[in-house]
Amino acid sequence: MNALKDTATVNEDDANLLVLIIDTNPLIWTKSAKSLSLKEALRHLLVFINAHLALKHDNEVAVIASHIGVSKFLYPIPNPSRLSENTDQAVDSNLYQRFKVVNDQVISNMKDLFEDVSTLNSYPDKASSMIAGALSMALCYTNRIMRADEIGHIKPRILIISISPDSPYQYISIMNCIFSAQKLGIPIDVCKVHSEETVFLKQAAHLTGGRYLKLQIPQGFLQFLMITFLPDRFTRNYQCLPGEEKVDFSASCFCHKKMIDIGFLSSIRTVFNLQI
Amino acid sequence: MSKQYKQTEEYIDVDDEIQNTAQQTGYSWEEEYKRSWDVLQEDEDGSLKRTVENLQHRMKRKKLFRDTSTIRRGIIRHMFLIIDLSEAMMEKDLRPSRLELTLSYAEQFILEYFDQNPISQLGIIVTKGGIAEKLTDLTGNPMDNIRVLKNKKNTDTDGEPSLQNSLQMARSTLIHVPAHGSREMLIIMGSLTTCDPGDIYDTIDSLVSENIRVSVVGLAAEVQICKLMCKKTKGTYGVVLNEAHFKDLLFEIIPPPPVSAAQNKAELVIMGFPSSVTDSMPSLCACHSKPTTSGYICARCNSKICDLPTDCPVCELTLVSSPHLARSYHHLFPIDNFVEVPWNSAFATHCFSCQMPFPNPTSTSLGARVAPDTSGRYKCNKCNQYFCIDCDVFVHEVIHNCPGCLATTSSH
Repeated sequence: MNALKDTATVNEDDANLLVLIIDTNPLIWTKSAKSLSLKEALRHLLVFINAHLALKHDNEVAVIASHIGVSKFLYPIPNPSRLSENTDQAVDSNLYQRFKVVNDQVISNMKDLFEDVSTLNSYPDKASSMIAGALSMALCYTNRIMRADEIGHIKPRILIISISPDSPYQYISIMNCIFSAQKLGIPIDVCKVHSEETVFLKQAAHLTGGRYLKLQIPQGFLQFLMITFLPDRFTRNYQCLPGEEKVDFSASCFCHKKMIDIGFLSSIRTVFNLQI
Repeated sequence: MSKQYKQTEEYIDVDDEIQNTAQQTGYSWEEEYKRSWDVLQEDEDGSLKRTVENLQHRMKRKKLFRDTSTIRRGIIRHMFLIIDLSEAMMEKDLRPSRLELTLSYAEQFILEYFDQNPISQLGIIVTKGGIAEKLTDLTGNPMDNIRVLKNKKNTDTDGEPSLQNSLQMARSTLIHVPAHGSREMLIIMGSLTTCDPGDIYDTIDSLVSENIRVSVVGLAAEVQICKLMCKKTKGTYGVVLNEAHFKDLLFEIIPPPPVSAAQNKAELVIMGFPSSVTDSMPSLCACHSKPTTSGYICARCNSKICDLPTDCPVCELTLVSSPHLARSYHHLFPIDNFVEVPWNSAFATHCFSCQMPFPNPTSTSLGARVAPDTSGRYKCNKCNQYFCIDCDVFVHEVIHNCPGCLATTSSH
């Protein structure tokens, strides 16, 4: 709720920084391939990114992949020279140059990520992705951009395209990220594409004043992205979305990782014991 | 919030730096005289930019070093903030005046205190004209405390402060606090004198026996009785040098203190985690008896409460939401300090988390007369990733997560 106060300072002319975190867990994407495959989703996302860049000339974008066992920047990367060798340099006269640069980099970096199967094989927990790491990187990146921009012209926000279920081991680190985002006034939007609801990310959206959407019709991915997540922070003041559902605030106990309503809290170390 | 954070960090004062180091060795007037302007050296273009950058770097770094060992910390705290409102507070040696600065810092302190200690309580006592007056009792709501400080009537100055009276008043409430919570007082003292009705040493002895920790921030000069009191009760004592140092001293109190040996046995406190509800028809809440449509349902007795954290007015169960609790976790699991990387092993080209390019070792170390002392790279020893100074500060002060450890497999 704290984030709502800050909307008063948002201006129509502000530039927007969109940090897009794509959950690229290949095992789960394969499962959802019938309704929406990763390839198709990526095509939708690239159109979405281009739309974001097209809205204002000084809009910025960053894309981070949250993979199994690793999270990585897809765009921007520090030395893109290596890339230009692989992709064809031909200038397409029908395409805005900036769109091409972003699209090419995202696609080729994503390819690199998928070709590297060694980390994937060695990492034990294949059901989830490194969403906490990706969020931390996103916050560091936004911090850098906000620091460089002295007049506070750039308004950042984070959008997570999530498919994997929550991993209880990431609870504390995700919570830490949520509180720092709250402190800096960065809303975290969440789009849940596949599998059941995620409690952690739902809390993230709720606490930072971002939006949470569970994708009902996968074929209309792009349309949902455009309507729900494209509007900048200024426009959102005038947009009315369906009301928030119930947010689950119950805690998980440290001993059995079960969700509880009443528990015991140690005064020194926070350890919950199971309900009476 | 972010603005504030920025400002404090840009702050740089060469004199301050020297005084800080001198403080540890002895009185500064016994030291050899140091010429602060010698620290500043021009580079070949006659510019001070690089030296200033280096100093800034060091300042940022100095703030960072903290204890990362896992110690037991009491996260349920009970604190009284005691503010001196004697005539000495009208002095203008701190800008705009001691009183105004104290009040604005006290407000920031309260917000930050509740931010980092979400299930703790705080009360305010003021002392003037030889008496102590309790403005708020121990409460878990930051706004209650801030509201009384904003009220001009409560902050008139008059006469001399009374240390003993305020200690007694805070003590009388703190001794009823359950043993699992910490008992603390923080005194902001502008006066050099105190007007006490009895023997203050007796009061101090009773504080010691009841495990109450007293910390003092002095605005004028060191006072022996304060120093003794802090030493005996295991609190901290500091005298401010300037405005920024005042804030530093005050904010040092915010992280939960390690638990003393006497109360070093873990106790379990029963707590409820209510779920939020939104109804289409308004119903009465248990706390204010007002009709509301949304609220939280107590996990034990099903009564409706407006706001968290609180005690259920019906069954007295302590109610918190899990995000509140999670806020204090990072004190329990601190992340390691990053180590500075020397020039000879500075191979990384960019910061792992923010993609900022690092300074190039070959071009700067040869070209410039004032060689930068640091390579600008900092390494996490667990995941072996390199970070820039800004990310280093940001990671340790705000996020409390190492992006490298979370985003790579090496640490698992």
